[in-house]
Amino acid sequence: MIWETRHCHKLFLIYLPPIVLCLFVFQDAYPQTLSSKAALASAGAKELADHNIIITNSTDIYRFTYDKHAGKVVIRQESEDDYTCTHYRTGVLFADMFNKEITLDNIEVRQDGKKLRKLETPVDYVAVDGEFYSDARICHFPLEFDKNGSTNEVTISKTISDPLYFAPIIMAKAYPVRNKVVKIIVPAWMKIDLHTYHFSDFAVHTIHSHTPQEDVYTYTVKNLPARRSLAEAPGPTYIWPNILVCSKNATPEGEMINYFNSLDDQYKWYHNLSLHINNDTAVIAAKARDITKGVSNDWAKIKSIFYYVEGHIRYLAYEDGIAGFLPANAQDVLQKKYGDCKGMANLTKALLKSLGYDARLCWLGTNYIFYDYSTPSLSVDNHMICALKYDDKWYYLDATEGFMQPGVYSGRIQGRQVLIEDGDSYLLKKIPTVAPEQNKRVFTENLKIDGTSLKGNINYDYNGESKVELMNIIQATNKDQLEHKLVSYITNDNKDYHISDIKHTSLDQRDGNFNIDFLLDYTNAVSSFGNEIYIDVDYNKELNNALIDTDNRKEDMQFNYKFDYVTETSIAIPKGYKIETLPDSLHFQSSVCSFNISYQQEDNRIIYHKELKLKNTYLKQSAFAQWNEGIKQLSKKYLDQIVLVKS
Amino acid sequence: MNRLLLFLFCICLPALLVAQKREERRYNKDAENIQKEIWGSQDPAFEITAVPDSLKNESAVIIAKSISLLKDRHTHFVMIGGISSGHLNTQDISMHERVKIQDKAAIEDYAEFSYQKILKKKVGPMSWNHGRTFIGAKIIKPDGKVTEIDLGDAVDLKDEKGDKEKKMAIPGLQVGDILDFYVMVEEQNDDQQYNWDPFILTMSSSYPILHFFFSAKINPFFGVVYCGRQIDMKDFKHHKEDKYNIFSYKENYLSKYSDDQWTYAARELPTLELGFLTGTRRNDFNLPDKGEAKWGLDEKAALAKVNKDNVAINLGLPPSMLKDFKKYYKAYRKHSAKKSLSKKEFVKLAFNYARFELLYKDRNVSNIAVGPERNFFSLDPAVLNLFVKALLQQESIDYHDLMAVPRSEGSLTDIVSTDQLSSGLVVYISEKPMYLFLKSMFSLPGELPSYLEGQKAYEVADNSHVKKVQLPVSSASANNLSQHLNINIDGQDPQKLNIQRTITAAGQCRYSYQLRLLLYQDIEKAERKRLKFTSTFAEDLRDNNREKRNSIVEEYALAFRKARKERDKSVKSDIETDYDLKDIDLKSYKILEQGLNNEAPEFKMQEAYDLDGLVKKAGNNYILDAGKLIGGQIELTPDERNRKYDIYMPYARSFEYAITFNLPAGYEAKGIENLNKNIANESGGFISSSKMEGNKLLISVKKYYNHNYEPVNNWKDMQAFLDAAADFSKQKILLKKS
Repeated sequence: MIWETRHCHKLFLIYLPPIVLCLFVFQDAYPQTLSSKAALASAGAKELADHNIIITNSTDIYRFTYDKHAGKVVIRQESEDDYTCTHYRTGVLFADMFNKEITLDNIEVRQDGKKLRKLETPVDYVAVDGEFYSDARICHFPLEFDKNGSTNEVTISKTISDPLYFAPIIMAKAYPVRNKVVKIIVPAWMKIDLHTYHFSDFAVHTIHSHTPQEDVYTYTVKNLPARRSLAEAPGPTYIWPNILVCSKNATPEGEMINYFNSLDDQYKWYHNLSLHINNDTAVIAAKARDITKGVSNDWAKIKSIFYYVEGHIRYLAYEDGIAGFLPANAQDVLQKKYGDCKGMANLTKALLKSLGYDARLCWLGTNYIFYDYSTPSLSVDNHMICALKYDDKWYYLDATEGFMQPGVYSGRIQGRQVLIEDGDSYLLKKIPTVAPEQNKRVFTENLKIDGTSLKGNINYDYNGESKVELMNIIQATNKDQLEHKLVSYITNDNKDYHISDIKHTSLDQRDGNFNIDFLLDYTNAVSSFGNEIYIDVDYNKELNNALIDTDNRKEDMQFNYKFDYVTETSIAIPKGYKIETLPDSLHFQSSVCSFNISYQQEDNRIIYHKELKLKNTYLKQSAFAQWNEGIKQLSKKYLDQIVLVKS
Repeated sequence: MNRLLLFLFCICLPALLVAQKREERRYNKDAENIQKEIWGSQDPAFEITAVPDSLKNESAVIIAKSISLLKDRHTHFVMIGGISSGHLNTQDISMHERVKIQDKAAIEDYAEFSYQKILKKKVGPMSWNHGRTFIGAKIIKPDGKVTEIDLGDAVDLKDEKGDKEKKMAIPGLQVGDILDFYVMVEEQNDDQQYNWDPFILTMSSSYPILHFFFSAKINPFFGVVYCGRQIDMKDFKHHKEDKYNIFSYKENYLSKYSDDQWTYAARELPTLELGFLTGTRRNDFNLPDKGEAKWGLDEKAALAKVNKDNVAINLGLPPSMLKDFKKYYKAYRKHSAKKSLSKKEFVKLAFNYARFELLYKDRNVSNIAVGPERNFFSLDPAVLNLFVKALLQQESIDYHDLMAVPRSEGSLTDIVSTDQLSSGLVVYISEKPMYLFLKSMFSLPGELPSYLEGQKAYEVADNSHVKKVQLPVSSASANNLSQHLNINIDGQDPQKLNIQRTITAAGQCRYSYQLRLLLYQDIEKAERKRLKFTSTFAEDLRDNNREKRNSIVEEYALAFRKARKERDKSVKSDIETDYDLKDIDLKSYKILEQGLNNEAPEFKMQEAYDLDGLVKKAGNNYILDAGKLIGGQIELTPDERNRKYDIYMPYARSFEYAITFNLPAGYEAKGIENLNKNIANESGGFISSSKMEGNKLLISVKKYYNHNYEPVNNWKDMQAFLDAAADFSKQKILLKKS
């Protein structure tokens, strides 16, 4: 799942590095503490020596300015990146992004010191995978490097139309940077808070100079590695040194302009926007009655409403100017049968409210974002859901997930702060942190040996996110191919793994777990040599060889969700045989995962038990070695055979 | 802003706005007419709402689909200095579809679309490329209620003057609905910009189609060549109306297309083609003249192509290229101490020289790329062919032009334009015809590209005599990949294997290795030596880059070093892919033969690596996944077993493995008989055997595909040996402590 598919606020597009073409894959938990990023920080010097194109100097200057004409404060951004070819001549694509609130005023390129006169800078729509529409645009052109030592200095001027839209400043670029300078110039009439992250890891140097007219904050860092597009990558605010500028208020001329002095102001801003929502209560109430027709129990009604929105409204990300923050009217989402997270949250709330339940809109930042509401800013959240207070307990309903249930939370929202509307005031709560057991997937196998085959009954049970993951695959499958896909999914396309008599929970059932039951005839499953039978007991071998390439990866990782894979296999010992060898158990524990495997004899059966748990979805680079050690032990254990011998 | 500019601006701005408004008004008016035409007059098939019960389990069913093409031409006036007249060509393609949505996957397929509403591009001083797209959609609910989609909801992806792109999400679309929509793309341009490519229509879709219609109306300015395949010819109708050529086709059921392995969609699926011809001398080549229409092309079309190429040869090749060759040829003879070369030697030399000059030589590059991407470098096939031709002419070598349709596209009867022919040369100077097809950096003289093997071809002698010939097919033994493995159990870790492997890839099998693993630096150097060039790569570079001569050689050296380092990773990842394992330990490797030497063109490499993951522990004994030593094998799914299309493979081929497994002291091997398989039939085979020789377990495996094509009836035979290979790959042997 990529982050763009589920976030609603537009500011995060600006997080994309200047040379874009990246997909950020993300998920889950907010680490309590972050390790030092020694490996990543020290990679910069090597990259600067190895990369063909590097940035020798990169400077971003942000200056708060009062635009008298418009009567508002804007931020003028002047950025210069000096690209140098260090090995051999080449051409690269330069790209920069902007949108309705951040305008691109000017671009200049000096190639080997000479200004390019006829620079063509075409602007295009950015098609971000999974997103229906955003107002982000990309300006792109080639940079040519004539020979070793050639340079291109790219100077860009931008205007941020309002301090509220000041996105986080990520210091790393798409190429390694030798010297990076960020300067923020704040006139005395402008009040801001600056928050810096991961500065000590990268040895970022800070200078603050003060005059009665202005404050100047200068941040410098040397030898920054390049930002890369990687699988399972956390959001950039987790990895790179970055600065969050929280604008509080401004008094450029007489009257004070307020931004977010506190979270109260941020809430007020959201709340005022939400007052523009114009839900047609009659239409919504009629629909809610229709959905819950024949349902008398309150909890069942709530679930039918939530499941209706999950099942009938297509998620469609839409980000356009102020519309990037304003939920669509509930009746419009209902009629169009599509909506973004805001629209789906508003519809869920409206339907529930019409039935008399205490449902509220709420805002939150998914685990893609490092920040929380302690630093009020539009950059701290990117998602909207519906909160429901029922039976004195809060439930957080996120219909965009497709197959969630009330009280079950996805990796990307669990444990996150959530801002809940409460009239003119708000409530700040935390979505419960979930344990891997919420997502438990249990394979129960009851088998016997027949010649060289294994035969018996198998049951697969999916809960929480393991269910969501499977159901989303099923939904995307054409129904004429569904049974084949299911068989292929279970058998891994092994022609010896014959399954029959498949029974499963209805594919539309959103409530509870998902269960598949089938009969197995696994031919050539056991090897028989003379008097002995050798059994390779684990068919699925999850995480086998799932090693992280530590030579190439220095950036932390984030998995989708906390998994809990359980396999319980019971094999009857055939008559006339006894156990010769049962492999040793495996018990591997780390702060991130635990792998437990045991083999036991119970009467005339062999009991194989396996449980693989991911306890924390955030994997720091410093924990890679530990992860790989666990994977090596697990993969080796998968090679152990059970041996039976004729008695 | 100075006064004059301000004045101009004030005048122009309203004029600009008026023009934009006019454009928008015209678009809206045309849109209305197009909608009336498409939704107004139509076949009753577009009124159907019911889907047969037999198709209820489909994801979606296309109830009706209609595609129409209009190619037209008008005179128009342009102003350059004074008024002169030119021509404007138009092409309108419309697609109207009525589809019943039967599951959520289908909703995802149909719920969003984007379109280039207007694109007006200036391509010359007075030349414009003008395109517009019109769309419309309505939803028919199961209760019969019809809702027309309001296009006003579409968002702007681009909204510039002359460039308007829109995106639309279909509101209210649900499972059970019928979506009735059309897309009409209109293009207008002058002769230089017009799309002269043939119109090729493959009718099947991933959903079944109940009623399919095609119609085309072609201005008499064009001569039309048409053909079709996998269709009932009598349903492909042609007649004339007001001198226009009119074509139509109707089909009552088209099954959905499944994307199987080894399938050429263009051959298997119902397809219609229309080609458009203009120009002089059409009668000479049996090509349709103005307003004429003709089924297919005949052999005279080959003459048209040769004729066109020969004009290009005279116009296109700089004379200095031939002078350079003469100089080179003289020097070559001197260095090889030969007064003259035999014809065969000369032809090979000319071919290799052309390959080097056009594909290997880096002259004034602005972008140094010497990694694997460099190996894919090629030029326009016509230019490559022309240069070989021109070199042969130097020594008056008789050659014949040879042209055929690539296997993936069909046969000589399946084309409507000579551009669909792939051409090369053949010379008759030895017992066998010698083919000269310079297509890539690794093409060899005497070798046909695999995509032309077995095809019928036109052979043209003296630019005037055409005959049809049959191109040969290479054998499974010629396209061979063989591996020799010598395996020891690691002294420290009995579950680790120390492997030395030699790979030899011959014939067509060598290409994938060459493309991925050869370094430009190495092949350029070897080829330079073979061709007896006296200058070095660096010297040539300096000569060609006088202004930055010192820098470029150094830059190449840096780039070479980087590419070599990157290749280590490719070799490692190749081995990991072979065994489906991760983190293998690559000890060393060496490329022994590049496979570019004309006399023995084999790619050969040696590797040494350690593998973890193929030895299982079983008490005091070990189980070796012996079958996995030959790498992953195809496992057919139940779906794939029910094949309905013929089997088109790239070429016949064979794979051989000779494995020596050295048993550790104190162990004996049990179950080696499980490694013996023997399935051989007309289509191919899988034969494996094993034996002990002292402490060595010897395993020999051969898998082969006899042909590049099998009719679907032979699929059973193929499954037999594919299954045998899959079975083999799962076999284990026990290493028992004695």
